[in-house]
Amino acid sequence: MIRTSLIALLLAFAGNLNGSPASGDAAVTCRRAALDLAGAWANDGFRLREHTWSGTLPADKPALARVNLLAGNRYWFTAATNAASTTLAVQIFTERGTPVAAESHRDGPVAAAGFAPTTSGTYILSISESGGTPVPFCVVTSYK
Amino acid sequence: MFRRVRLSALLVLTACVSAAAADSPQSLTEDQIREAQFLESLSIPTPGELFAAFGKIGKPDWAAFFRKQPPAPHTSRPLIALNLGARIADGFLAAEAQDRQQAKNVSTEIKLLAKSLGLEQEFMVRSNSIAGFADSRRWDALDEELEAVQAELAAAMAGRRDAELATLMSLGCWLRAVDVAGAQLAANYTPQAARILRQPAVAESFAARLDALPAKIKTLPAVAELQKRLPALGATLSLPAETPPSAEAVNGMHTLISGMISLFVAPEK
Repeated sequence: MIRTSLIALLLAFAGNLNGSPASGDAAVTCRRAALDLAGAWANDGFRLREHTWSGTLPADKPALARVNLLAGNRYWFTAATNAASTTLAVQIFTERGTPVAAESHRDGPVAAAGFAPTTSGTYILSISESGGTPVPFCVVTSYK
Repeated sequence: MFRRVRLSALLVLTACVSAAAADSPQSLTEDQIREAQFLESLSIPTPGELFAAFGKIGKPDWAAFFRKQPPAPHTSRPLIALNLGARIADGFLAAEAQDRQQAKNVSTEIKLLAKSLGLEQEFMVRSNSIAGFADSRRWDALDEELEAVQAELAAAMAGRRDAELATLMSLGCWLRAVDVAGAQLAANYTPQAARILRQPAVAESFAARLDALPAKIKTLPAVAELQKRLPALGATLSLPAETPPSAEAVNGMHTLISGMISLFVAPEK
């Protein structure tokens, strides 16, 4: 019984990690879905960054990452999960935690936020899900 | 009747405000701000991003910042990795300048440096793509290809237990990008352009990563000196948003970075 409790505790801890790693296949599927949506911005002249952010979204808690954005550029952050019944949200905050005025796109398991900073600096990117269960995710960045 | 209309209007207004409130995100808590991760893959701007931002102010003569001399040969793998990163940044510069020949020249230099690290195979396919994109003037695609080159070389280094070389390559790339931006700004200073340069926490992140390097690399004179100078660079890049660096500060920063780059570009003693 103690062993079961310990295992449950470890699993609960793993579920609470901020963006813990996703499995290989899930990461590939999520990345493909994010790239599919990000293709819309590419048609508008946005360049895609090679690096992506992948992981597992904890239940009922956003995954948060710091990004350095440059004034004058425009950015799109596109997120996707392979959990079809989940609704994702992408939000951007200043380094002090205040939400910025960003364009928003939400379509169930894919979502994006577009932002044109007037000030260069650190911003915080938030990815969250509505389903209440951990799901894998991938975020791709585009800029112009 | 007028009262009924007024009540209906009030109900509609209340519904709209509620919907707006439900949609507008709450601010992050202090704990959440602390939890936000600094991810190298996401948190450090690429040279392409930096040059794109500067390119929106005036028309920089990017070709003026080309380094025409090929890199001095090095035998030290850490120095080669730093130079490799800096050359990748030069590739982004060639793309921004839309200079086909320079893009190909830089590609050749990247190949030679990758070869020095035993990574020539990892670069072979990309080398042809770079030349192809340069020839067809697909500069956006060239940018993406260069970032892919850096990512693949870093993955190859990690696979060969040379992850510290990936850190140095990333540092070399970032330093060269800021060097070019600093040179452009020093030659054509405006407060608006100076505001672009702000990148808090990046220098600090690199300083921490250098500190975590194995002692045999950390104590190399060039690496030790880079680690020593990073805080001063970080200070200039972390000024409050409403206080861009002055022209004098930018000149000072440019001199500092040029000195940092010369630490690993100069021939080995």
